[in-house]
Amino acid sequence: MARLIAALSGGVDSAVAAARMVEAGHDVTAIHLALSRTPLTYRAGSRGCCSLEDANDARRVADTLAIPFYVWDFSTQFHEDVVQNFLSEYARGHTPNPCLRCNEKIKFAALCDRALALGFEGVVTGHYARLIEQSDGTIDLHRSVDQAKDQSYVLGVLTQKQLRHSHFPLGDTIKEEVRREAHRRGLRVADKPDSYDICFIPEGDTADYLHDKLGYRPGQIKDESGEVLGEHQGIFTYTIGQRKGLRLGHPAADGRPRYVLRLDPQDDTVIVGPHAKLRVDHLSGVDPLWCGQAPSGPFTATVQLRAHAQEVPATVTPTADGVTIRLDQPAYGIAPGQTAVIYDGTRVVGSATIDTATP
Amino acid sequence: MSHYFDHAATTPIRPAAVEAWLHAAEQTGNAAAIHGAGRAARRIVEEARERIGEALGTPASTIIFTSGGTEADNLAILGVARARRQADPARNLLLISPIEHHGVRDAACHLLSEGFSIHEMPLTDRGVVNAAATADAMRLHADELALASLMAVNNETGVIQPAQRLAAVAHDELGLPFHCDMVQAHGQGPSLADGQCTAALASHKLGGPMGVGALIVPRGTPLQPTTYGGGQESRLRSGTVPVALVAGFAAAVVEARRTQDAETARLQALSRRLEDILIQAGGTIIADKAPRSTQITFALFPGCLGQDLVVLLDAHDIFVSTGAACTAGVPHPSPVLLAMGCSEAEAMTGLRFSLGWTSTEADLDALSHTLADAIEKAHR
Repeated sequence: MARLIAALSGGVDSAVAAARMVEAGHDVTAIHLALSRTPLTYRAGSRGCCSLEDANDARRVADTLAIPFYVWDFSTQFHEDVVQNFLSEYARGHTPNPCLRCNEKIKFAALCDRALALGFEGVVTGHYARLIEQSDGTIDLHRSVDQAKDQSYVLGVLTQKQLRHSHFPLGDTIKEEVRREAHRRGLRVADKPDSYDICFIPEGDTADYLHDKLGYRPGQIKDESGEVLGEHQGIFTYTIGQRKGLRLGHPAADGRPRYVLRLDPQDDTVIVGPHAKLRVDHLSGVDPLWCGQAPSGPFTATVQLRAHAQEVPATVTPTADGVTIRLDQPAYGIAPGQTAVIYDGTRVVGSATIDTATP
Repeated sequence: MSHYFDHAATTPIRPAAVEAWLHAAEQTGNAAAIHGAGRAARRIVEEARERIGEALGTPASTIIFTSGGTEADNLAILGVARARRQADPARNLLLISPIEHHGVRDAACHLLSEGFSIHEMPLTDRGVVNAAATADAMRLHADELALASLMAVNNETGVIQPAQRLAAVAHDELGLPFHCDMVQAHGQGPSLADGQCTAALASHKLGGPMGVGALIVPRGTPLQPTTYGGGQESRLRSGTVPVALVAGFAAAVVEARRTQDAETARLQALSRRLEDILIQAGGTIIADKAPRSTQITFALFPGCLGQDLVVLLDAHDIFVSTGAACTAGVPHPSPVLLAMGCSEAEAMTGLRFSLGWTSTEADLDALSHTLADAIEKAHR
């Protein structure tokens, strides 16, 4: 039996995860993370994870499981480590994934550290991923059995120390079964819709949110020859690979669709061009994080370049301050700031933040 | 066995209150109905009113039953301010202390939207309102003031406020309506027999049921209702009077008053030992030089987060509070401590311990066995 913290978001997954650990005989204390500094202005709907309604749902789950429940306020750290990082990355033309940052800095760092300091032994979450202990005691992170729901990608930033204190009881179960189990256990959140959007963006409108926080920074949309094709209100509302919503006055000379190729924060320019120019074969990554031993030389692996993307076979080479990745087959529309998560079969080897992406 | 140190949040219901509540709850009848069942219910309500009046030394007719302390505070602040300004449009100033409960403070802030303005009473760093300066302010602004409001005992620090003295100045010298939140008074505060102020009471802080309270309204107080309907309570408060709750409330008031002197002495001894335990464990008592209620102690534990200590003590069934909580359960730094000059970070290291009629030496034994270990774990 272990003394554990269960992070309850107010959703069905974390509720069932906590229930399973209670049933297994662990001494579980529920924690709901308050991440918004002004809870009513963050998501008021039922699909975020920060609203008062979600806090109440989490509380009722803890009541049902007869375990203690507390709300821990991490709003200041969340703002500094996740929201500010999100904004500064977009401002420099990158495309960050805030869920990864939240797992890296908040859920499996600030939350886990506080839990350990208070005498708890680990953190339980409802993530869809599996942990498998090796004979030498190493904890390996693997994809979940539910391939559609697999969340190993957003956990690819966890280190061995963090994995050692983590529990993902849902990794061996498919989502439909989790919902059925929630019904059987009498958890009122059994039919609560999944959350897909970024929890701190009201109404899920990222462009609107970025304009609100970063203002309007008008600039030009050019093709690769430098010809001005249109104007924009801020490069941060564009993503590399984007085709729709460019509102370019006239068609390309060859009549083919144009895509966003690059975002240049220096002179606030959006560069567009043909699909072929999105091709990426080589990546360099910074801030590598390894789930176990850091690799000593090149190795073959598969890499996943964004959440829910197909993985691509590749050769990964560790460098002094990061990694280089050579893809065996080209990828298209890869933006700096995205995270490359490296797999060996179903096992997560580590991750790095993409710095450059070239043909 | 649990150890309850949160009597300022709510105190266990007294057996006499349960009995009175149960007895009345079995009766059928709306106290506003004129038939036999209604008359029986009305009799229970009026007897309760008379018993409370007798225990507090105020005529039964001055007692307006409400849903609790917050509604009583709201009725006094909104009702008096609006009535005063209606009679004299120049009276649109409110004088309130910076450490009032939200029931007073937020009601006063709401009046900003109706064109009132607020002056705050000066506060010393010991957490006491400066009475002389406040009296001067009342005199200076006598022609503009709609009302003044100061609680009897602060709900977080336990500091006894000079409400009696200021109510006397307001009433006797200036004819100025004065409101006193007496929810945590427990024998402190203005004497209601003098009729110098309106006063808010909450049943469950005295060992009665939750969901009922009262505003004491001395004769001649200018007051407009804030809710509209049947006008059951002297046309000042509408809504069916909860007969059984009122009966339980009265039983609690009578019991609290009957045992008050003995309890005060008993709690004084417990409070001294409690504070020794807290200091021994490295705590700093807030406002330790100020006159304080024997029932509330607020202590800071430098290097710890109050909420972490709550979690650690909770695991040993020792129930304490950080003093303030919002609807989501996220602790914020106490506005009272901030008003006393604490930084936000300091204020977050605090815990409130409050004693009551069920507190025993065994509670303190449990605390003294557990606190040092909790502080060590919570220390960051």
